[in-house]
Amino acid sequence: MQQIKSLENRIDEALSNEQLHTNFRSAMSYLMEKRRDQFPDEKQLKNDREISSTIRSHAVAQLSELLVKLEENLEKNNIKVHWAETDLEANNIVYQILKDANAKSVVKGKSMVTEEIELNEFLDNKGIEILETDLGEFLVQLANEKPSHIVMPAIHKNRKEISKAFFDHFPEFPYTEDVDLITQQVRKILRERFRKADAGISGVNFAVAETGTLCLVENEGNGRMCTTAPPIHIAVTGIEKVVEKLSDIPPLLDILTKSATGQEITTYFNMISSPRREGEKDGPKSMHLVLLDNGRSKIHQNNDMQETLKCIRCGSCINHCPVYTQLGGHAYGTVYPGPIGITLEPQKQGITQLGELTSLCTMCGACGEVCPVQIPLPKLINKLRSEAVEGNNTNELIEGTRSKRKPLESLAWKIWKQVYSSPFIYSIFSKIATKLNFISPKKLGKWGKYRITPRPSKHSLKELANQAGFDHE
Amino acid sequence: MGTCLVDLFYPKAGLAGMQLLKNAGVKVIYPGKQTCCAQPSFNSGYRKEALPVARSLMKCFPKDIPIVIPSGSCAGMIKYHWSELFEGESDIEKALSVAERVYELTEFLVDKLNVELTDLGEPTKIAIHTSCSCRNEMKVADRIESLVSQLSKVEVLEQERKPECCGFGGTFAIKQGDISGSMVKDKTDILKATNASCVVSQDCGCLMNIGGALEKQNSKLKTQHIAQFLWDRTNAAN
Amino acid sequence: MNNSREIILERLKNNANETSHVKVNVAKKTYHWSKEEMIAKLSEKLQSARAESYVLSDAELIDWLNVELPKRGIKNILIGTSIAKQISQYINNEIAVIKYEESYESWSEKLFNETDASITTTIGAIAESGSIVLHPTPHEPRLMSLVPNIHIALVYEDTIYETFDQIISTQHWSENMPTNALLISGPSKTADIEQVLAYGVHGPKELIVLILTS
Repeated sequence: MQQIKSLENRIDEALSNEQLHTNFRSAMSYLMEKRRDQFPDEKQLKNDREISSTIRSHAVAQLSELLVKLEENLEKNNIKVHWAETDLEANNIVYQILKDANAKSVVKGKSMVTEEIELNEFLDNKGIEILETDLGEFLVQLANEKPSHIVMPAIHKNRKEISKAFFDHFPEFPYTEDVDLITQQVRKILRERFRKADAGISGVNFAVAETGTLCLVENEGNGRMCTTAPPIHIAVTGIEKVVEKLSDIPPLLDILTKSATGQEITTYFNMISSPRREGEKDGPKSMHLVLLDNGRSKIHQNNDMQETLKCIRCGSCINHCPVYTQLGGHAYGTVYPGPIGITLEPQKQGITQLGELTSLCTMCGACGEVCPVQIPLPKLINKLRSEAVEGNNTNELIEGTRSKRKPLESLAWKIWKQVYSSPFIYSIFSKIATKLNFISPKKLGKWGKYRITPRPSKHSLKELANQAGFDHE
Repeated sequence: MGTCLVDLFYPKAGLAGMQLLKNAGVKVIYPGKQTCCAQPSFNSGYRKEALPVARSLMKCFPKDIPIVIPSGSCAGMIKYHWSELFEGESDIEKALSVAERVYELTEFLVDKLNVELTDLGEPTKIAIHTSCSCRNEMKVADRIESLVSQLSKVEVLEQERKPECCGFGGTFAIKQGDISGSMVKDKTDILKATNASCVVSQDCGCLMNIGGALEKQNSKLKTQHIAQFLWDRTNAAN
Repeated sequence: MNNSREIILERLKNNANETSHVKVNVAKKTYHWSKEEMIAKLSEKLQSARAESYVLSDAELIDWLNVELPKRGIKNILIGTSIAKQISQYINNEIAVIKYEESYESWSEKLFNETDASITTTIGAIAESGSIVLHPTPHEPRLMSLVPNIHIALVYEDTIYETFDQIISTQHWSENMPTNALLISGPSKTADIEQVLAYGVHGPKELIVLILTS
């Protein structure tokens, strides 16, 4: 991804944007509340999370077998399977399919994996018109922006901003900020596009190996439009989205929708197992699935970090992250933001480029508490921090280990270690700190900008304990 | 165990904790050679520096007796993260045996000692800030509530978005100072809006963050560690 | 392309990290609802998602069609070829019956722009989540339940299940998946603009579920 602004600049920009702060505050509070309402029983929730975690753990552990089985069953069902190691490869595969069919206009359902490979830009450059049809993505595309959240892409925009972008693009419609009216207008615009499109592209929420079935959740109906109306349907997915059995689906679907948008179930749950069969009157005539690696198989090889692949992209960790609430999605500068983003992206793109992202975390643990498949996100983020500054250089599984080690910081920690691992040295340090407590650092980074600088007390606890007569042994 | 923060910055809170335990009939030992649980460097990725510090602390607790800590964050570090820190090390068993015996202070007071408190103070209204480590890691958010609820003249005021992180995060406050600043501003806004006279918490890290910010804002809202608060209320002596 | 497949699978196979095969006890949820309770639950959930639901006997169905279709301003209605003959008997002469006889391409414009409503059967419903289940067939193609603004679905009371898991196992889905299985739980909607709910985005704006007794 092009990083024109540095992370620091993007953070500054985000923090100084009052409107953004307000938008995200209200959006995250809304989503957290909706999720809370869906899980009234703590014990039941614990049980459900364990079940989902087990299903995903098993799937990730058996990934190679399941992918082979999935491919076998999909091909049996007349769905052509393509494997792409890199994003470029995936883009080329999609392009080739479209080129072979002389497809010029494409409609697309919401898919984070296609954002990841920057499919839209690629096809655009090849002269193929590709239109986002999920309302949030459609609005974001109009404003020439990137989504700021993996489930609610336009969450950073308020009504006024949306209306303005919409009517700038479609001046033939009378200006309104009425949500219903805007929605009706979008429906009108997109309907003809669905009908006339040469191909439809979608992501995949779950791919069932047992039956060769691709599952999709949605509320709007655009996903079904994209996967049913055009003559070609191309689905793109990360390799980790496969599950073993059809019976794995109900618990995963249940916890996905409840975690993501606080819905018991989405309006539509679409389970596609084949293109149009003999005698059927609609549905795509040909179907393709592109299996994307793009760094996932490398993560798989890393035992410490393999759990990253359990993710079902619900966005719950993002909704509960206090740092994300402050920054919004764009500040991260990556396709996946929030806790899952700072865990996944440095592993995919390397620590050299993205290691700093792991500092966007207070280790509050909220993400780990809500993850429906029990990914220990705080633990994984902490591990990445360790890889970034003292990782083993021969570890080829993550690029850039040790690349964030700074001489000043490592010296500081070495000194800290000397003091704190030696009770004797510490006692001297403690004496100095308390007796000379009027000398305290004026600056502690930006600490002093928002708070008074703390001063050590005149007496340490050890002294007070002594005075009060507490034993040492 | 006092914790490094308490030792130098909040010693009275540490003492109060020890006195509360003593009052409840427990013999409290304060190992003189204790320093730090090693969380600061562990969370910064410097595990190699964290190990010797943790080992030095480990030596302070050879006996099989409970280790009580007036901090959810330090208790959580030892109890749940020493296993990661000592992974592959020869003394991991020893580390785990220490981890097993760790309690956060309010957890120990409620679960093990069943303390009964009598409120001798003047009527007051407070807000409770539960640290993320107490809430999410140690799961002892309700213990502080339960202790305070025993104080008949203390009213606990409700606050918005109570579970939200205050923005301290240890070195996060230094490394991402502006984000941290924005977070503590949001938190102090909420706390000030309760019109409480004091914010009470199980963790001094949060107190340093929230209290420091309140002071910089020239707010009258005070902060206090729960041990200090309980000790003052149940002893009336100043 | 083949090369990528081998490279990817090789990496995945090499990692012999088998998590333990201890399966968590996946006790399937059962509510032990009576038929009446299931109907009530299904109706309640559908209605809370802004769908309409009515419980009708055969006779009542005929009346309902007679009265409601014109009342709602429906000028034509799309019906699948398997039930078209039967149902069209109950529909007023003023309302045109369109049979989905030809393949979609030959009449897509009419389907998209001039079809007011559709009526389909279902293979069942799920009470817990308030969902109807469709397995489109050559007789009742997929787009019937997606394109027209009003979708009327016939659910037979004996095909209502408590949970998604139950319908999958009882109907042996894993042995024979249809080309496109669908769970539909309400009219089309979105909350993408300031989290304000809006209905009838791309799918039907109205979902009417007729639960047939007897």
